Amino acid sequence: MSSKKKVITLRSSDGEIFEVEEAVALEWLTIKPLVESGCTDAIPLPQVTGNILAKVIEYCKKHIGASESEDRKILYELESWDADFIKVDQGTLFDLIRAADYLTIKTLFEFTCQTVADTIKHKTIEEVRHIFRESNDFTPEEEKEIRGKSWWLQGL
Amino acid sequence: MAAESLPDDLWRKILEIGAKTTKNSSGFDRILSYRDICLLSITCRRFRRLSGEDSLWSHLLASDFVPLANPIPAYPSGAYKSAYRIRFEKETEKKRAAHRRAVLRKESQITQHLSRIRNLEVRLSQEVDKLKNTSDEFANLLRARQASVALNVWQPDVVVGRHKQVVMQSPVRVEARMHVVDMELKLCKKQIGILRKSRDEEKKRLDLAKKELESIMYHPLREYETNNGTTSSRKRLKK
Repeated sequence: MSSKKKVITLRSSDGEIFEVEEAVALEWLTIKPLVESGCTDAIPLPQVTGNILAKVIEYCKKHIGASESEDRKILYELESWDADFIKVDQGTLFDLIRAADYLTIKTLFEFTCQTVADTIKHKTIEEVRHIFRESNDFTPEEEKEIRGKSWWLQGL
Repeated sequence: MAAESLPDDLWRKILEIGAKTTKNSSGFDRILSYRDICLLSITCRRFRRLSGEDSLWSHLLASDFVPLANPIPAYPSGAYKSAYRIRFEKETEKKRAAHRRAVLRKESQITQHLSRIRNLEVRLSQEVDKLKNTSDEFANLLRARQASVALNVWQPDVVVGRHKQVVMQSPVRVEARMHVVDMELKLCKKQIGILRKSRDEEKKRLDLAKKELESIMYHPLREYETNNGTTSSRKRLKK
């Protein structure tokens, strides 16, 4: 076994070329078999654009090895790094979720989903509609019925 | 980019992950409660469909009611949300009390913050007074020292007399006293800095607590009723 770190080449949907260490690529379960089979060509990722792929790689590089650490200080630093990392607009966040799902990166997927869940938490109905740009598509009768059925929440 | 840009499958995962208990640096936590998910079901058709699914409600049933030792019974499909509701009604009294407790706790937290802020402000104004007095004393001492220096220089008797008077008035040695007062001044300034900082921090905490209280008190149905019942005409105008 050579001690030199093996580098994997990836190509985004818009033709950008990225190089990542093998250890990082092995965390991406979708391409893991390809990496293990010793593929040396650039792996095409037709569902991920270059700017999103760059963010995904940034996250995975930072997290490799660090997530399992028991050191509270490292974990705390990682958490605040994550908080900065995820300060992106909703479109980018959704793109990251799609990319993490497509590449099967468990840590990034859970983290991005939690971030979306966090934006729903403690919000009012109107706020949720506004955040996700969903319009109220119930007819007035339906809405009345739904609210009526939710009477069990009224106990609070 | 709106919510529909994500397929249902991913939204399902988001809700499931949000409703799952996870471990983070501040202990065990769950992002979404039954309440958040019920609110979601009133927002639009798509979220209503996604937020009513069995897999989601079986999570909530398991973590909210069934002790970990007992597995959740198998309900017929589509019945998990109503199973939750039935359990919920049984526990409504308990939940009501818990909610009242949560409100009370937040309210008392807010009064505590307020009284701490008042306290800090009183101490701050005391410290500011002290600073003023000390700097006055410092100015006096400065004058006394100038006077004692002036004594050594030839001056008309009237002036010397006045200087002597000033020097005699200060009971301790001017130099030593000045040093002490100077230290006091510095200490005072530092103290004021510290007090201001902790007052500002306390204010931040107060704002946070107020926000939390607001979200605890928010009630979708009550709000809807007041919006819709008495002020239906106003609501129409808003649109």
